[in-house]
Amino acid sequence: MTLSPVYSPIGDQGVRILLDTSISEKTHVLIQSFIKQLKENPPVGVIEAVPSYGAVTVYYDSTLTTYDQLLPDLDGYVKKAETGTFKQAHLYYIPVCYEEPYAPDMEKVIQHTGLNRKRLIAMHTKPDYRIFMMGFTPGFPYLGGMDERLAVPRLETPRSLVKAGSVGIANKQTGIYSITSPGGWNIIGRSPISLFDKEADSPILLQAGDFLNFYEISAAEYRTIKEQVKQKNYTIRVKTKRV
Amino acid sequence: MINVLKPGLQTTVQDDGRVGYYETGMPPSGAVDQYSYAVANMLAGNKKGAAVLEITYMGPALEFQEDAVIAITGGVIPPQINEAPVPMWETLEVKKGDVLTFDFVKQGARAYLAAAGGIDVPVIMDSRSTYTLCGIGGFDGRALQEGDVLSIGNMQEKEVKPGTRVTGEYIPEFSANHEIRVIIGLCSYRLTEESKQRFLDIEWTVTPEANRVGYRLKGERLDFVPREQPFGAGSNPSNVVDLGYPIGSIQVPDGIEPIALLNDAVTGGGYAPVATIISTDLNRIGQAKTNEKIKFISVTLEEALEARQQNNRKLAEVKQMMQSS
Repeated sequence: MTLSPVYSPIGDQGVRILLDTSISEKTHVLIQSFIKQLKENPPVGVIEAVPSYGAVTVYYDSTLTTYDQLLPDLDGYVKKAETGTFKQAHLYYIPVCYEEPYAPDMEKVIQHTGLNRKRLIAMHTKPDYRIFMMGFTPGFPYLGGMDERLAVPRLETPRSLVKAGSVGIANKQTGIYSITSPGGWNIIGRSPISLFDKEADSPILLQAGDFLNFYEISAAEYRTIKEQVKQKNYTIRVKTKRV
Repeated sequence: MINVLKPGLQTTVQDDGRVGYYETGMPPSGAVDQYSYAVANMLAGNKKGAAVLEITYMGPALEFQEDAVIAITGGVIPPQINEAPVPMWETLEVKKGDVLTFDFVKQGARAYLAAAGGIDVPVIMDSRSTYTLCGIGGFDGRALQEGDVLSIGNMQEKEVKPGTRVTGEYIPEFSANHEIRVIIGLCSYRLTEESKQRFLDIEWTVTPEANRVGYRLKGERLDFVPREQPFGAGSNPSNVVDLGYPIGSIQVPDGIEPIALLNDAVTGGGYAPVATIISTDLNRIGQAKTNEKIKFISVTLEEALEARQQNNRKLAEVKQMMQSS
């Protein structure tokens, strides 16, 4: 694949490498391949690489290296990045209750999309969503692959508190709030599982490059799972997926 | 042990940060003014990365339950031991039973208190820094409260003689008019040429929304270039396709009030970052108070690196002074 990456400095501590201005799976796979190489063989001074949709940002310690020193190494990895290699990824099954009181914006989304509730949930639970990037708050996954018929604009005024686990839609994206935080997405359900658990050995469940699939549960099941999560005896279902 | 008699406005345990977790959405936290933080540790004879207390605006009252060696640096929040003023930027001895208090803030916004050995709290994701939004790190994941008891750790590497101090050029001055250097980008192209220039010309005022998450600034409205918004971007012209934000990046939601992101900020989102504060000046913006003025100065990457090298030279020189003290 021919690439014309654009390199830009972010302050004196980052390099943003733009590969694509739109959201595509091909670019995402390239970015993952780039990050893999960087992790296996990091140039001096590199702290980490953070993927976003069409770009990857490399953070560095400018006491150990400079922007100009880094570019040739980074460019080498970009050129070697591949789309074709098979990779094992995790597919997480995320239970979601689409009922009240967990779905305050469901009516609005029904009105806006013209879909009925059943159809809407069926469309939202169908895809294996790809996690393109993590961020905003710790453990928040940005997902790709939502059916565009579910697209609804962000709320005009963001809520000051959205509960952890809330599943939302904003424009053509869907995602889950990992911690209770302010937010402007339309909330259509809530998951009882924790994407961020500060008491766990690794507090953050998901990683960019993984997949997740939502499945519908009742309010009663929500409460049961929530209790199991609290008692630390709930195990999330995970499958290995070849991509 | 140190008893917290009064917590102060917002006193948190911080270190050099939870570095390396941006990819999970975790901001670095850590001391906002890393220069003052590092010097406090050096004066206390601590290893790099030891945890200190970050004191904001109004200091705590702390009672020492053991003899200790401490140092206080950063913004001028004048310290007192048993009600007698003691100097900042100097290695101090405290005795069991001594009470450390602070006068009203005179200059800057944040002071750093290091104790020889470091503040001992559990290490979470490689850091002792408090990140209150998630309730992790530091003391129970929150700011100190009355009645808390802090332990002193064993991260001392050298005994520094009490009375050792740093002076002159090694002590930063914080006026009420802050010049903060930035590198323009990534998405400055979204601003009109006229607004790009105005961003640098305006004397911005720090609003009351100025904390470890970010500083919201007031000035004039900036204009974005109108466009057909791309796939995935929000409908406001200040929106772009969601991307990662480093600390120091400045966004202007809806063109109204710029927000400079600090150590506890969100790590990504859909607002166009128009500039990024250079690493050395992150030490300074966190010392600005509400109603003080900020002017952004555009510099090149080379100038930013030169500033950083100068900062590192200074820290190395302070370290050298401690070695020979």
